[in-house]
Amino acid sequence: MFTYLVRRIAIGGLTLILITFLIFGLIRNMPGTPLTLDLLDPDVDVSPERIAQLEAAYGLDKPWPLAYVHWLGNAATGDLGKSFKQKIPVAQVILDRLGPTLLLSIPSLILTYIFSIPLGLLSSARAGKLDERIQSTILYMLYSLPSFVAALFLQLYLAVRWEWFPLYGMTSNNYDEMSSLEQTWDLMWHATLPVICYTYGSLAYYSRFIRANLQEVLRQDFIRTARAKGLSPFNVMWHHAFRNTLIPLVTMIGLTLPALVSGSVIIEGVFSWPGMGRELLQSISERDYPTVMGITLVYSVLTLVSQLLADIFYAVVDPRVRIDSK
Amino acid sequence: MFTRLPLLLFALGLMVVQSGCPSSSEYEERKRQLEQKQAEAQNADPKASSDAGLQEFTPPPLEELVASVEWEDSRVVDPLELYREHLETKEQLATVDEALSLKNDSEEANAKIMSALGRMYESKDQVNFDDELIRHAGVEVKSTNPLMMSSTVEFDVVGMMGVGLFSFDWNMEPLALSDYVKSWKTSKDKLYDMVVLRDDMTWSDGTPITAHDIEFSFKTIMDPEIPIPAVRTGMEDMKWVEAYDDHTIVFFHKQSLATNVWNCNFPIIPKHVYETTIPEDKTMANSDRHVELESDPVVGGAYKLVKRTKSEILLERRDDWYMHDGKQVRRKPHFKRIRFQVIADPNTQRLALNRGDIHDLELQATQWVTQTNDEDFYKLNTKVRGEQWVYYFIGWNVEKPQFTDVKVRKALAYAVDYDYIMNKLLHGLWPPCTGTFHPDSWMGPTEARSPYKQDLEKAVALLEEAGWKDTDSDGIRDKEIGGKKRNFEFVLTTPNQPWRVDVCNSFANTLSRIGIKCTVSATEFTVFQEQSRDHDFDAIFGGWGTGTDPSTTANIFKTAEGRNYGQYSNKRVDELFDLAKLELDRDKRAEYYREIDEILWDEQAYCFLFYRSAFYGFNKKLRGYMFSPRGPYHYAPGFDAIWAAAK
Repeated sequence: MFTYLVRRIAIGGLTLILITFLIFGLIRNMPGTPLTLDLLDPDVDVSPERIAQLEAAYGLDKPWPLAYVHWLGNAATGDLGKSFKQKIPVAQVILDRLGPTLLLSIPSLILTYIFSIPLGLLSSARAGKLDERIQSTILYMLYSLPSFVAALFLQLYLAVRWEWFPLYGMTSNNYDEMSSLEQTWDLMWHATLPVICYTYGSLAYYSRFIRANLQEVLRQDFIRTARAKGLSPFNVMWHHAFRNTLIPLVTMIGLTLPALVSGSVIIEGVFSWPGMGRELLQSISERDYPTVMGITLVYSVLTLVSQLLADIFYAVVDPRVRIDSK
Repeated sequence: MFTRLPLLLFALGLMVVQSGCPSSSEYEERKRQLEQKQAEAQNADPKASSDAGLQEFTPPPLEELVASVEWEDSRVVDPLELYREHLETKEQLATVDEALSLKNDSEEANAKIMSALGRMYESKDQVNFDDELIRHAGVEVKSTNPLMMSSTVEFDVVGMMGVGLFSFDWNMEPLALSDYVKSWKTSKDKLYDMVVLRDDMTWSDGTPITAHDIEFSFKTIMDPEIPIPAVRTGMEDMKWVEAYDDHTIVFFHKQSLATNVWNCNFPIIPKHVYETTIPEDKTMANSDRHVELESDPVVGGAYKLVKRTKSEILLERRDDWYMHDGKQVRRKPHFKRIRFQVIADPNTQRLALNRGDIHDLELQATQWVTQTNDEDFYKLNTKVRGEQWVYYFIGWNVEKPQFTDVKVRKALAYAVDYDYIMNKLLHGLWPPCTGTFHPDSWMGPTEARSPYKQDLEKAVALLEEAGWKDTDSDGIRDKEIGGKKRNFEFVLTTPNQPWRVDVCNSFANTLSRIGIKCTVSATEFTVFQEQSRDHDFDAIFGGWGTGTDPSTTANIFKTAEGRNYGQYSNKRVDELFDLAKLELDRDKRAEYYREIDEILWDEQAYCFLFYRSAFYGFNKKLRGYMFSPRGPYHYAPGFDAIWAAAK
């Protein structure tokens, strides 16, 4: 187990260096610099001296592999640099936005599982019947509905027509004057529409996933034995069959860890939710290199960690799998 | 396995270093080129001292200066008074109630709404001084430091907190603001501007605002070690700024130029705050104190910052701005609080306006035409439109063989399907543009030109005359250039907004009917800018806003200037720009600029297409708005005139 972990971490570290090197090279070689958009105003001085001066201030006068090595050295000591545009440390930028993104993605994840598991069980138990067919069709329709269309409709009806929910933003205008309880409620109220947009699409996917695995497990001999022993259908489904579908499900949780942090550019954009997704997109178009690299690093680390966790979970949950034998 | 790892790392390290080497020689080459350019610039133009910073200069004593120079009084104005005077000359075409019940679906309705709701108040009880105005921003404000302003959002927000001595009215005439300035004199030869400040202004921490703050701000901006992003063109034409005492300041200019007055208009920061913090941290962004100041700046304007998060900025009216020693010394700013909320998505912005979550919005053309006509919109809002001096054009890279010949450029101007583009794609809302200066401006053509109309026969005739014929019957015209046969093909680059792409596609379509192959390339905006700057294009579909003075267009049309993306070059135009820069008489300058405009039109340096009108939705409670060539906000009085009606 120990050697396995060390090996995985070492390979992970190497992969990390490769990923960050590639991304760094890509963004540095993209046309445009952090200064390009600043120079749009016709009243602004664009003399070569001025531009050279500003580029030096941004550290853009160094060749990019050298700049990468500098960045890597700093990152290894925990210094992700300062955002060019926002003049605050990149770590601060990320932390500021991580909270809002998690506020949407974690409830979404929990709700997805809370709903998909019963849906999956139900559709497996009533497989082939009319109500199950209807349920599957509705779920597929939801799955194919793009999130920005759903967001628009939710805004139009729930926020504008009936005014049940706020239209955009994370907090109300008088948030600061609220008590802690009221603040929590305010956040939840604002998060409702975005969370709905995040969740509805995955219901179809996860419930089908559970259903497919359940069908597979239900074909096994030990299920036949359980039924033969006279156990109730509910008992068979829940105590014996479902547990065995947990294995792929648990590994899925591990793999969706990066998605928790990456946020959705579209949903965050539509609802003006100050999250990570929009931040990355904006940093790229502004050529804010330190921020792009900081966010890339966070995603890469999380992806590698979650893959490792998924593998470990798998070994823990399924006694048939031994890590050392890999 | 373990032994292979360090080897792998070593190999990677080698790769990094090796790949560094060819780049580093490229880098050396580029550095050498840049140094060469700098040296050339310095030798060619001894005034280009921006690299070396401010040259030392000992100003003469004030009495000597005042006595030895011939002075003229310059305009010190209360912009709101100016606006009221202007309104007296305009007839009110409808009552307020009528205007509020109208739908803006015609020129007439627009005029009625503007004239009724654009009025100022007769008495103070018509105004709701406790109102909170909620505005929006498309992106966050990156910095609240007035020296670091670089985006429109920042100009909107930071501008409200800032103190500035000068501005310009809706005719683009410069003026000094009576809120801050007691008197302003300019020397007849335009070499000196002398301003006497009022003595009743304070920063938000109680310290008086003095001439020393202005001198300090100037020195900070001109310091080559401080990376100010948006230093204005022309600031290197300033020789010196001297604060003779707390309230008297003189601006010294290097040359006698009519444009000197614009150089005096730079942002002002408090000396007592920054004189100690800048020496430790020249980036103005790193030290703890500077970071603190970003969320709690010391401001001199009418509003102060009370809350700043990544999705919102809240400004509050400063009582100590309009009150001094217990007396009211200035007009009371109309709003108690102004909130800027970040809403990135244009559709959400529109819905927010409908709901009353925000109170003003710049509408896109499609939103104006199809999405703001129903009850949902008119329940709480109304909309108005006005002309703006922002024009769009197709810029030819005249160094490319296809576009060097004027005949070809004229042919292409005849090819554009103006009717389809302007009346169908743009809904007939954007007027045609026939040159770089608007006919209403003082330097614009005395008679409006008639724009090109589509005439494919003329286009074909000109192309044939220029030697572009389809000799190999492949449907595409060709010509022998430098011994090789070249097809008439080119790439039209545009930022990837849908309406721009539509316009370009229409053009490409028309061209294919006259034997020219045009490929439309829609790119990310930053890439578009970069390619434009590097002359890395055949033709671009771009737009320019207007600078406050026509001399700023020299940057666009003079040979080898920074914004002359298409590499257009005409000796007479260069000459005229130089003459106009040095000429002090307004009418003579206008003549020069008119000649430049004629030449640019004749030679089709650009294919001038249309002006972008400004479309705005305003909550029904708002009054006092008027359009200038730069929109409803960015001029004097601009935003300051807007007020909320009391119920």
